[in-house]
Amino acid sequence: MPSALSVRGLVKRFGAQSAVDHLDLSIREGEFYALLGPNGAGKTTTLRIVAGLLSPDSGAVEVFGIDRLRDPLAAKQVMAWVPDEPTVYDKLTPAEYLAFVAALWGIDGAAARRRADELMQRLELTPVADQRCEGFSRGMKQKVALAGALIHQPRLLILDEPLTGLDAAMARVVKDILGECTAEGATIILTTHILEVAERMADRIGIIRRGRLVAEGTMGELRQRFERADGTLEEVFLDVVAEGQETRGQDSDGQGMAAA
Amino acid sequence: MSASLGLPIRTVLAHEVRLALRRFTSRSGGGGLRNIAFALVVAAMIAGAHGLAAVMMPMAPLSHASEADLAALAPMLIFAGMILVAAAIDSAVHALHQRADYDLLFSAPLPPRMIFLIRALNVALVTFTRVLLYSAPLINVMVWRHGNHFLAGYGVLLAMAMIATCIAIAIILLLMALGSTNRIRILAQAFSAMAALSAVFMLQRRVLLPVEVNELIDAAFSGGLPIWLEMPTRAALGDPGALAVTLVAGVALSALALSLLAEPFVKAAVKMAGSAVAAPRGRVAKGNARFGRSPLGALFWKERQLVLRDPSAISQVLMPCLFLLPVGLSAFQNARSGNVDFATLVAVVIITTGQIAGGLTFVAMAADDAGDMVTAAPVDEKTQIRAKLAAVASLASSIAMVPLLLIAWANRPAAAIAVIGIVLAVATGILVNLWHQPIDGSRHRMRRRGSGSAQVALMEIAVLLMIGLAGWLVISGYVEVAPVPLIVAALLMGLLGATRKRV
Repeated sequence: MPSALSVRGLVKRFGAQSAVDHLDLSIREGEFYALLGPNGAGKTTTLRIVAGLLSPDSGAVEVFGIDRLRDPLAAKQVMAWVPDEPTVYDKLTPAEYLAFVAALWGIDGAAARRRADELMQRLELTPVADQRCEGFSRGMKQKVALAGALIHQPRLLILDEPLTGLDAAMARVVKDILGECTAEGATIILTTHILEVAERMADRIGIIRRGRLVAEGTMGELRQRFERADGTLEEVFLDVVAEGQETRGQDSDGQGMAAA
Repeated sequence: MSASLGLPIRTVLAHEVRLALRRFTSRSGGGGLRNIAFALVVAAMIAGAHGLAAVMMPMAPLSHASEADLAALAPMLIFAGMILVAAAIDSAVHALHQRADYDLLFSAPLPPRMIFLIRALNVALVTFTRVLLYSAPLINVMVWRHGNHFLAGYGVLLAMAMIATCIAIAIILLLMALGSTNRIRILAQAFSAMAALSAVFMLQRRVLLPVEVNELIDAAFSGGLPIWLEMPTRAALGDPGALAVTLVAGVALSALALSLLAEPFVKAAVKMAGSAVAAPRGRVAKGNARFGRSPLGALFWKERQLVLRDPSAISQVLMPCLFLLPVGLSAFQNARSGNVDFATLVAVVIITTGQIAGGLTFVAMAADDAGDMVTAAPVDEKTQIRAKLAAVASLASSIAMVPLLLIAWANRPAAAIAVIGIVLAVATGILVNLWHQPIDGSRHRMRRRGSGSAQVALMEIAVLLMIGLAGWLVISGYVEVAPVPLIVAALLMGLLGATRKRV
């Protein structure tokens, strides 16, 4: 299966601190991929680099064979990014916001209007379509941001904690929409701290720690690797984190011994 | 005060002082060359202010016993008082509304009244410092010319700053009682602009107001100054007894006012903190969603809509226009006698348009609620900046069009100079803000803070003053010296360009 996203040797440092450390990642076309990791592991930094919001210090990023660093506009044309903090304009209405986003991606007017109506109906935004976003709750803004990401039907959808702030019913609707997107051939990369979502929805799961991919595979493969035949993703995840802490302990012991 | 309470209070005091200092300094984030540029501009402005004060202030010694000297100084003290109230309103709104730290402070084991007193003290000190910028040159010139007893002027200003703080807090509480908390900053801005405008009217009343009105004001002061004005005026002229009375009265009145205002202030602060959480219900904008624009067209439309729909951004940007009123009135008065001062009119229009363009650029560039989404869109950065600047230039030009057409109707050569000056001023306002204003992230945060870097504002006004001066010189017939301020402006812009943080 061809690769939707290929990341090779990605490095990003903030001062002396390494956020992404020679990361290699390959995601197949049409795949639902969950990228997990403890806080500060480098998930958001990696995704921001892929989405074109940050420049890497070194490494290569290809989106459907397009070099993201050499031809950023062509790569952005096929991608959409939904950050963890919903970013919509307070002074625009959802309908205006969707018209604006559609124009940025060069979508034909009639098609954009049709798609906007469909998305607003699906996400229960139609009653507030002409109301400025300034009075919206976080969850409402999240829905508007998600509609904006979906309006140009991206081939690669990158979502950073998309379910934060949504009530259970709306979270279900969003999960259904994401499921439909993959069924229609879109590729989805999602980060989440709600491990049940990743376990239930993702085709493959990658666990990142200190900027490196330390575990990857289907749920079955991860269970097998960590010898938890009936284990949940939470247990596997905690094993990976614990393994990291042990490694760090050994590293510091080693350094201590070396210093001694 | 118990020992256990002393430490938190000292901490809050230090916190207030640190925040006030950082409000002025840290937002610039400049490097070495930029700080040198800023220091040069400030030094030039201080020297210029002292030079202007030396021209304005009388050469003959003033006496606190002379009725004529008292009558001459009293309007200037009223002017300083108005400026103090305007500055105090601005500082109080910032302290009351824009910090959004009341949840933290009120949850700490401190008496809310104590937080209020510390914050009021901070407002008084910030107000005093701001007014020193205008008043210190005048006082220094008097000390230099006529003796150290004129240092008493600083004491008078301090007493006035304390009283102005109480007046400002009372005004804000009144405005809050009358209007919505979400519009308090706009109301306060309008009020402080009106206070500053009245100060300008007081100073220029002989030119601006009809003769009949001036005669009425003269009659009001003919029977000697009222005691509340006489004491500070005598004090400012170096009378030690009057200075003591002024300071004691200032402290006593402030203490009384603050003790009365403490409770309402705390309630207001709680209300303000709540208003930051409970956002207003969004207004309806039916049928404005137009699909099928080009990316550049959509970005241009978005920028215009965001500014036009944001009353706080509009008020922040258009505030300089209010100061066109005295000039307009003066031009109208002169027009009646067939003697319009086009040179001054054009200079003011040039400077104001530049400031508006700068303010709009700051609003457009400094914050974007959905910056990540726009960056992730397949539109290159140049197109994004071009759209923002096109929106800024179009809005600033539309505002300048009205005075420009009036000038063109009466004096075409002056209008031609105005057009050139406006183009230069708009470019200056845009470039200085584009190069040097910090990025804030979201408009919401920017609205709460309400202002950009003070350093950038100073540099911008320095360059605009030079362009305005060049226009004034050309229209006044001093064409041969007009290149001098233009060269100074070009040099300043070169320095600012060389030290730019971003484009």
